[in-house]
Amino acid sequence: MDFLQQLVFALVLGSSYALIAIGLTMVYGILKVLHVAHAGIYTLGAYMALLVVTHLTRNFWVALLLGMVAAGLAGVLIYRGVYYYILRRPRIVPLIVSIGIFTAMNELFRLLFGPYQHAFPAVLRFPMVITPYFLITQKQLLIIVLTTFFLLMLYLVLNKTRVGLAWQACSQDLSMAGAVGVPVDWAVALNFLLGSALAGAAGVLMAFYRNMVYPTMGNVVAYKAFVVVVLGGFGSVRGSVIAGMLLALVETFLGSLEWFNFPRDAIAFLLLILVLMFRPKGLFGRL
Amino acid sequence: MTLGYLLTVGTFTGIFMILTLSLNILTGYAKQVSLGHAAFFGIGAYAAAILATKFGLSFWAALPCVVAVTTVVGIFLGLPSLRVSHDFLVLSTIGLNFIVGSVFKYFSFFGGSMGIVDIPTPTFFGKAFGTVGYFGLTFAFVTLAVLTSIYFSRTWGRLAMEAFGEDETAAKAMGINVAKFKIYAFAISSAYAGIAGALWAHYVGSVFPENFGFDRSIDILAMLVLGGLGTIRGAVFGALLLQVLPEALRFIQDYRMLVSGAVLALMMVFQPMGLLGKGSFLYLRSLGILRHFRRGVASGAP
Amino acid sequence: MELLETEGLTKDFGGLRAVDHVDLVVRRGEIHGVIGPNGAGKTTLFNLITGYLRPTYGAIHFKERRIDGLPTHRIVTLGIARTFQIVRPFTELSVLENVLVAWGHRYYRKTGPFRPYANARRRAREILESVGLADRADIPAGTLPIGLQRRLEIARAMALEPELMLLDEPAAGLTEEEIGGLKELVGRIVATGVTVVLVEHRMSFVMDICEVITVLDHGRVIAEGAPEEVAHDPAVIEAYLGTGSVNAAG
Repeated sequence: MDFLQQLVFALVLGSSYALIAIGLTMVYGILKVLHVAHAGIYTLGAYMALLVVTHLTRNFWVALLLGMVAAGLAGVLIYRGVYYYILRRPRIVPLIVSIGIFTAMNELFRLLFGPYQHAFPAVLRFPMVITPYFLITQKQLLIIVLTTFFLLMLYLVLNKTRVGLAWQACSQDLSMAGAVGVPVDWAVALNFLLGSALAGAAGVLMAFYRNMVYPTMGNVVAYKAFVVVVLGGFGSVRGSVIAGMLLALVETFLGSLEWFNFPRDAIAFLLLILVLMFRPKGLFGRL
Repeated sequence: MTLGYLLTVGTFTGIFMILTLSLNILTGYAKQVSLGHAAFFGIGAYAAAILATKFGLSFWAALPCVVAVTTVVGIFLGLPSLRVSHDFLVLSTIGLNFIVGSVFKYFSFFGGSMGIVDIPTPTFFGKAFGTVGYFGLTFAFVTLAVLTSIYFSRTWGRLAMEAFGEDETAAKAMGINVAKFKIYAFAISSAYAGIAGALWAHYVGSVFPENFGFDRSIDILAMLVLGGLGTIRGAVFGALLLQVLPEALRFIQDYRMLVSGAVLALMMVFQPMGLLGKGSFLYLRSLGILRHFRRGVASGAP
Repeated sequence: MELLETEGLTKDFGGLRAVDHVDLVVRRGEIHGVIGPNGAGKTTLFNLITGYLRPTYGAIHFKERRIDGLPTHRIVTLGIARTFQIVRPFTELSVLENVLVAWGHRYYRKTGPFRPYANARRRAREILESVGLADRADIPAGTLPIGLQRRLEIARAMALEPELMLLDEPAAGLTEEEIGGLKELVGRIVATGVTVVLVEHRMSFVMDICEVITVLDHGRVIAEGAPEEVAHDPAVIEAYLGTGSVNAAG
């Protein structure tokens, strides 16, 4: 039964990894840019929701929605305002720019909201599950259900709409997609909007779950999201979701072992190195 | 503002100059973006601290060991770069900060989160270095780093690194063993970082895991990018600017990381070669002025 | 054994056979043309010889030594230089430095890579002079016009001091006048004792300059011989005119 309880923890953790990694992997798939600033978007979502909860309403749904909107718009802004102009430069350029934006965002959060942790006092009526074997708290259930919902919607968008088709064309060859009439600018902007909104959602959910918001909350998570992207095979949404869950499982179970006194966050790094050394295309790479 | 204060600022600036010169070889020449440079720096500092406090070695006796340790670790940590393309190397270097930080923090051999304290000040013929002396010592090493960097920039090694940094496929067709030169880049770069670490540890007298985190890596990269990737003058100037400016303008101190981040983003968008890099606005301008001046002198003195 | 020999060289990409049992023999001192329609496997052949790709089957011998499976930089040091169809200069290095990079490997193999290159400049300038780039030695290579970048590409190959030079479509995108210069340059390279294999699209250029021509189609050698023989070979004419693969398949 302990096993099942651990599984619940892993599922919650994996949900957050998957939600962030989706945006990263989509951006990488299309622009081939390592979008480090995505971590800032995650944090931005959380802070936006925090503002709503402390100043506007305690309603969780409103906070989530506004957090996602803010994150999505910020993502589009970063694309149209910055990346758009430097995509044709050597790859080191967008990479360093992205790192710069990320650092600056983190610092802005610290300056605006202070370096300390804020509580996240949203209220929500949501059921919980109690069985003899495991317990899913209200917040855990919320995360699992919402993530499932988001993934389902994303699946539909990717596979059943023209937008999904356009993204696929873009990730094959950006200039080619433009040549055959795909409105590339719109497609990429929409990609940023959606991916960033999901990262924002992850930020809000984790803020709610852990009941805290702080400037550097994105650092470790973002790093792990990158690991997830690599494990998932760069640019594959499905791979990222599976890899996110997998990483969470490994972390949760290894971390719960008595003899394992190594920091849990280092596991991702070790996995990353191992995968990069032995399967450079990722665990679920299409090649 | 006392002399002692100025010398302290100067000493730290010197240490960062060595670090940017170190990163210049890895990122400026070989184009391997490292966001884990503080980890190399930290490994140097910890190696010096441990050798001094646990083994009682003097600064001078420990220095070769420190360099050896960081070089070997650098080679080892450079191995992923052989398999991994640029972008993903960056990821593994980000992870480097986390992992090196956690090793320092979680293993009691490295002092845990209490760090290592009471690192003795180095001596020279039995006399301990004072503030002035240490400033001199640091700048002796800065001079050494600059001179060796200049020497290196005139070798085949630099050419080979710049070549594969831009295009590995073409570099191979030039007979360059890319893997070997990547490892060289990591080795040389981490050796410099080791020296900087030793200087830091003995100057501050203590080392803590937080001293060598991700933020510091960003700082070092920002210095190099600001000054000009791939140039020695840029590396030195960038470190000078980003170390001294916050001291001179106190209010910047609080926005330090904001400045670093903004510098990275803005410079790469508008002046990717840095302030003093090849083909940068300022550098071309100053060359032009110099030429103008020379011509004036030449025509004025028949 | 001749300078370069491939035996049953074959390369599959997934289900596609790009190079199919090619036996290429290159004799010392000749100018050997490899022609064929688009997608015939010419560039793949070069990539196999220079170690960028590993053959699925077959062997490659250079100077009686088996070189398939060796890394590219080893093959280059053994004496095979190549140029790329799409030029790949090191854009941020100066024109002179580009040549120095190439010249370096012979030099530092003896002295170690951490030696200054200053005393090699004279040699590099000589090479630049011989291709007519001496007056642009100090500008960044990326700022050269495309025709001159092709020259730089050949200059780098010359600086490697190879015994065998593989030129991948050296005339692509050049004007008639530039092609005249290229012919003359290739002639001079051969005169120094270098053997040249060139892949080319422009028939006239190949017919003019090559002593032996190998024709590839769908990865297979369909004809080989002197230019006039090849030009009248019915299989070649068919492949170029594309009168259907019915006969070839049957």
